[in-house]
Amino acid sequence: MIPFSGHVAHITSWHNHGSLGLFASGGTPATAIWPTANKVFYFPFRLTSPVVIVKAFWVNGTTVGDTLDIGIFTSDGAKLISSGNVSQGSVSTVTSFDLTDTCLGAGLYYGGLGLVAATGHIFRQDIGNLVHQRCLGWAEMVNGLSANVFVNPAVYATITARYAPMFGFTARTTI
Amino acid sequence: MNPIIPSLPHIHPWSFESLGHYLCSSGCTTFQAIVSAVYPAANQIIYVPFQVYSPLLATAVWWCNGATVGGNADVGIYTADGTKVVSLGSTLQGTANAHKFSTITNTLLSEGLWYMAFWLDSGTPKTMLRGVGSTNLAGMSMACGGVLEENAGSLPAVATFVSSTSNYIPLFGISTRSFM
Repeated sequence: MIPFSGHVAHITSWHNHGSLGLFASGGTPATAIWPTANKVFYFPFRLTSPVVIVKAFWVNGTTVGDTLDIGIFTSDGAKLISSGNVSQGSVSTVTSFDLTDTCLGAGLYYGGLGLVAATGHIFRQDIGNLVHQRCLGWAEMVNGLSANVFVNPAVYATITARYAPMFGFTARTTI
Repeated sequence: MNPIIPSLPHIHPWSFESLGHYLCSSGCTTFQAIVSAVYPAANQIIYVPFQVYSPLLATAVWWCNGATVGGNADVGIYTADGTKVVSLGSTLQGTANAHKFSTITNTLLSEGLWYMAFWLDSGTPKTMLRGVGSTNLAGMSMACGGVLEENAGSLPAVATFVSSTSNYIPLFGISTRSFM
């Protein structure tokens, strides 16, 4: 029996059979200020077959103006692909960035998102409480950005902020 | 040939590898509905099945404490026929409303059916986080494949599975990571 097919169209931080599943859903998405400058949040996801990732996207909240880095890491923290430092974009919209097309084989990965300053808002899900969010496998790195881009390799650590930002990756050219 | 399906860092009763499908599709509970509740009975062991689709190295076990603590707990892993392969050993429950995460002897689990087991030595004030809801059913754990064992002083070398009439499913699990 195969319990899930990996992903459908997008790999998201909030609901994906290959990621955190039904158990991360249900919380009401809401705009919220990024907790700490240079903090990066990582969510685990798994692929059951190779996928070519072409875009990354994130959901901006009601205040923007920050810059960010978004990308994908191996399970042990090595950066595979990222946007580099880019502008957050427009208020309350899904914003995407064209990544260098990258083929990921079956395996466990982490998606990462970090904001340079703690001024921008991202839509995030409220997953019950901090304990629940930890159970789902979220991780963070307090100073996961350095000089506005990801620290590589990432050093995953226990999350200390109840904040599950909504972002993801896709093999489609259209979000 | 089966596809490679790696596990996420933590496997718990709400995981896809475990009872997650059953619990969510039954309308029994959602992850957000997990709350603090009194453990059903002292020395009860709750066994929860899970499937491993590609080999994984279990390095730690964990559980989530509810609002009241003070007991001793243990988490172990059993084969499909009830033989214990590894356990933490009796350990103080830890801090209220927080998870307790402890490393175990690294244990490689091959593809197949396994059980994770949770034991608590007290059933009165000590609480764990569990799933509840208005549509929750007595025996929901049994309907989903969970079994239990009563009045066990610790996690036994060989489990004696009996039908579960409980709707209590603690939030606990195994991990392939070094932190929660």
